[in-house]
Amino acid sequence: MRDDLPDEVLMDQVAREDAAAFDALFVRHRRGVFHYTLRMVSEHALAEDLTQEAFLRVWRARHSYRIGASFRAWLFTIARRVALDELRKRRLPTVRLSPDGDTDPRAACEPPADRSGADPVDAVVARELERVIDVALDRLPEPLREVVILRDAEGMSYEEMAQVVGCPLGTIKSRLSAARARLRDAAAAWLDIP
Amino acid sequence: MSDAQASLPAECASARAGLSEWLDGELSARPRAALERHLPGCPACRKEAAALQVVTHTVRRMPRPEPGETVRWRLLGQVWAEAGSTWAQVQISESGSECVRVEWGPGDAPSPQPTRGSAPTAPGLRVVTSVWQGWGGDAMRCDEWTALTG
Repeated sequence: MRDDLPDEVLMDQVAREDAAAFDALFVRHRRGVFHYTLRMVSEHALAEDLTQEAFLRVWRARHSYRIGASFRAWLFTIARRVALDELRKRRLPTVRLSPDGDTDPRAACEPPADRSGADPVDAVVARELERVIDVALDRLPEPLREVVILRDAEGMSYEEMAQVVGCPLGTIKSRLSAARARLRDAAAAWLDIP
Repeated sequence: MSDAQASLPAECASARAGLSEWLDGELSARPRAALERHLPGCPACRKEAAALQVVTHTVRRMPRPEPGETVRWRLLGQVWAEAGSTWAQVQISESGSECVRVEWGPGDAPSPQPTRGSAPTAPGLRVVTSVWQGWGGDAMRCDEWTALTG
């Protein structure tokens, strides 16, 4: 089964014109790339187009992929370039206010976490905390926002993030620390801290 | 260092500067040892660490949406078209999550001929589904394909 194959093996098959391997990579990474681009451009339909464009560029560049390199870092480097190109072209603001409630397309995409049996007050606090942090995340400057997404949503290592963003490791660390501090400040009232 | 950290005792400011990395398990040995010596005796820094941990866990729990399924088929249509294909043959797993087999090429479609239907996709490209297990059993996928290929 292709599901068991590492990204890098699938990409090697893609380089040999295997479209099914390409599709398997798309299915595996579409959520991550779409979420990243959505956080960058804030428009659902545009993020879909950018996701498609990023994977199309992967296909076009299939012969230049370096065997052994992290496929995910390579993919997100391409996705980032696609998103930044679009932002520059459209001069879109990279900071947005998150739409509230059901108007947010992300709201209907996954079921809420199972909180059955949890204290209802805790559940309300957790939901509100999530909303506050979601809004604060979208208000972060793009360089801070993207490292939070790459690390905490996509689970990338610091080294992968440095490769994607094209910055030294120290810059990644300081941006991530600053971003989390801002999110913490935004949510202070819900975290029981001054 | 932030303004807030500047007003802290030196040990606390140093500890807090490393909290983010420490929570990720990325803090190097020496500062990690210093931080872990400091935390047990400093309730304020422990509270700060807990707050940052809640923030990171909250971001991790946030919904990560998927793009619509049409993105997948538009993408494959582009790939086939760029390869100069005039036909494509697709086999999809029952769940629809995996493209088990994809073939495409120029000229006439090879045997076997389609058993469950065919549809055009990208301009100039004819898609032949010799085995399309989701066809008919998955109205959404069929509708999406039809809407896409129009």
